[in-house]
Amino acid sequence: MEQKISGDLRKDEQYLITTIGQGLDTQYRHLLIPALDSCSALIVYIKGLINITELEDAIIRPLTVPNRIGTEKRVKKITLPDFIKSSLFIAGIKPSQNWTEICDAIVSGNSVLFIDKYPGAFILANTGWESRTISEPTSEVEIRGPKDSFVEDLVPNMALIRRRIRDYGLRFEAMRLGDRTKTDIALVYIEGLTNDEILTELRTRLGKIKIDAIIASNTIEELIEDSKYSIFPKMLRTERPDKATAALLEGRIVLIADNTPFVVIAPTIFWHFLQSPTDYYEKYILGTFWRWIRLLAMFLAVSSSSAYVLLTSFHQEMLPTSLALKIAADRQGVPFPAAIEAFIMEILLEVMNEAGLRLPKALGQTVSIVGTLVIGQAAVQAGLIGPALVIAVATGAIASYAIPSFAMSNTIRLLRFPVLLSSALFGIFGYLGAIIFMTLYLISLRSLGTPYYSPISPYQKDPQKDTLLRAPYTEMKKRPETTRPQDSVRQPGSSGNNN
Amino acid sequence: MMRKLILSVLLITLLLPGGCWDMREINEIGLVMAVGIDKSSRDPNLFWVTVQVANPQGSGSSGGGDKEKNESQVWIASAEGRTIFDAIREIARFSSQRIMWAHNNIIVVGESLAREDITPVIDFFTHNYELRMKTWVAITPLQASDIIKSNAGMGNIPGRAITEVFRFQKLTGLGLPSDLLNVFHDFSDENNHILISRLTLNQALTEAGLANVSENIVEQIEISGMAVFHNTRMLGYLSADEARGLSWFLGEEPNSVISLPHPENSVKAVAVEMRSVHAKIESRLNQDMPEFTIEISGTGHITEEDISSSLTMDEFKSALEGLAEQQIATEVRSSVSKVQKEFRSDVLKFGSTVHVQHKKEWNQDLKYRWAETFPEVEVEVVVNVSIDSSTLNQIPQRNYKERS
Repeated sequence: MEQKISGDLRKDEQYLITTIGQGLDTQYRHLLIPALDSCSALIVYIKGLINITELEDAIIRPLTVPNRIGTEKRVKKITLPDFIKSSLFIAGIKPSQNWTEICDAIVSGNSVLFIDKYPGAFILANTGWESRTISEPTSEVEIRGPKDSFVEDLVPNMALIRRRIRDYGLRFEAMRLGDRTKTDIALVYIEGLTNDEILTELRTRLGKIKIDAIIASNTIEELIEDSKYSIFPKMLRTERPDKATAALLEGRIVLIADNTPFVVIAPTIFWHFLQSPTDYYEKYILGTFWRWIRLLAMFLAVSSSSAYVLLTSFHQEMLPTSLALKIAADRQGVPFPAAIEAFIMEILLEVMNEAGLRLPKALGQTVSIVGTLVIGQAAVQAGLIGPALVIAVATGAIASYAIPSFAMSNTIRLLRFPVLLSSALFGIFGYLGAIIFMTLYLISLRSLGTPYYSPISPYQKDPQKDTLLRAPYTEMKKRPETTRPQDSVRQPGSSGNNN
Repeated sequence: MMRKLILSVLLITLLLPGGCWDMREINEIGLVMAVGIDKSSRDPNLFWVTVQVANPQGSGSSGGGDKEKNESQVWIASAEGRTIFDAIREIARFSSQRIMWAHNNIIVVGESLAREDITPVIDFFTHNYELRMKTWVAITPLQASDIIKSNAGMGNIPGRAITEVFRFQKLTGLGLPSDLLNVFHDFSDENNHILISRLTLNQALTEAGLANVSENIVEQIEISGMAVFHNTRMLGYLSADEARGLSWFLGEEPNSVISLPHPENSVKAVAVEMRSVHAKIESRLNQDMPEFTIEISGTGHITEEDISSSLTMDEFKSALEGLAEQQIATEVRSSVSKVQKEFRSDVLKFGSTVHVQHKKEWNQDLKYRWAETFPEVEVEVVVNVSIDSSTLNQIPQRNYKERS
């Protein structure tokens, strides 16, 4: 690729054919430019990636039809680049002498114009491929709040954020990752707000990435996160621009990868996974209430089946007498011990979950009917499984869906198994051991250098207002310290009681 | 990394053999609902233990139409043994389920055993780590096994029905509920003596019995009176009325109903329900001789008044208050004097009162001669009843009829 652009159109074309090929979609369009004394020219582009109408109307037409600039060129000796820049009706024109840059431009959806006897080329930005329009979010539905969501294209995604933050400091730092996919990445932050150390750390980590392909944003996430073997998601993925915007304004960094409708937010703390945009769109009391409900749901999701096993197999004294008798009556003749029963049910539930997830809509009904009727009712009626266990397992499953983040919800559902195993082996000691171990582990984690369990541990006072509580906006005068923002003031102290 | 992983997996497998220790399925354990302990009729050295174990299959499970077989809700077994534990192990020999004590409701002790020595019972049940200390304890003049066997109460399981009887005892005040914790506490204090509820069987009509009176008279368990102990041995009973005299100041806010003669017409009665009854025991030392004042205060609510009265509200109120105070004071005095003179056993916690209020004198002197002192101490009873004026406002129903 060290070769210079020769200026000989036939040689250059030959070079391109050997480099990017002459495939079905790679087009080489020859033309003569009357304004340049019918000098021959070549436009190279990839079909499907460019806007063909624009190519015809704004590039080929002005070049082939004699125009004023063309007449003036003869008279006033305008240079070739200036001539091209002023005669084409297209916004992005960039002269280039670098083959790598030119080839990259072609495969990214630009047209490149070569002119005979000119040792260079013009990159014409007339990209225009078929893409999905901005639609409602599908995986993070909220009742209140904006209804738009990120799409697969980088450019509209950036626009979605820019439309929300008109701060001059908003930066979209470009980066290209993946030796073969050459995926465009935008590192989004607000200059003068986001902590520089975190930013530098993220840049360093991104810089260390050496990989052939970035298929989706979570590839990057995995490559840069702390404690790579941990089960907990340490960066938040979202398809909601409002969520990304809020994160930016808290001094966090957003990573947008081309071709992924999910952006990655870092650093993220554990509690963010229990928060939802609706908390901010409704009254603060409701927001706080929901956060606690979600916390309870998480607790239920982890422990409902374990609680059933440890209460019925180890600590019957902890049950109220009538409940103990009821469960004992229902379990008469059940062939398996409670622990085995719980494992069977949990695994069946996961199978159903997995089956239902990918089935076409028409078949999804079948799964739910078979699931509820066969496994739920029939198994209980046949006396194979105690009804109380079905309730416990179902409670856990429902509770896990109350966690707003899909990633965290799945993590929690998976964690039920070790907790259940530990409870089935050692009763309440096993259960508590597992919970304590998990909590300690959470405390030890970090997300981009920020303690994962903060601001609970290490304790920070001010961020408590927006962790498990959602304080009224009048009280949230500062940005959360967890992200160490450069500019920590949200509401400059009119009342003067910023503490 | 790999070595660490293998090492941790090995460590975890090391834990597995210890796993599932103490695991028992809920349907494999027999929950004891009530236990009765008697002296064996064959051999006075043997204990005769009767347990009432819940049979969950009988107590109706959800769904499944085939559960209609009218199985008994409890399974009753009894066995003899040199110790209580011996007898229980004997039951385990033929019980299909493992006995579990955590849900036990009541321990009934036969009078013959209680008169001899109650220590083994208290010892066994306080040693038992499964048993809750809030289990009720009762003495019966019958065989304890009769109580355990009887099919009492409206609930599914007789043992649980007894619990309810105990819980609502507060409504009648005809005895003091005695749970294992209280009994154990008083038992382990050298100067306190224990009071335990007395359970008997009473013939009462159940709802179902009304249709066929001759056959369906079911024996009901009732709490009536208290058994008074001195140290380890039972001395005798206080009757239900005498027990109420004690409950005025030893009970937890008894809700007793007292019937008072009407101030105008003593043939007719007024029913007054006592609420928020609080009592305070004060001790004074009068030349080494303690004297006690029992102060009882409470609110009376008129619940029945079958007479048309011409008294003004104030007159009626003060007259009724006087009568109520008098009645309560009489009840308390007679019960206290019975305990003092007849049983000479300090079940009234007077000793503890002195201990708390006059620590020095108690430790120096009184402690050593309390057994002789207790029957002789002077007890003054002060009762203060106020009739709730909102119930005074209600005009007796008879007034309407006689006026028209």
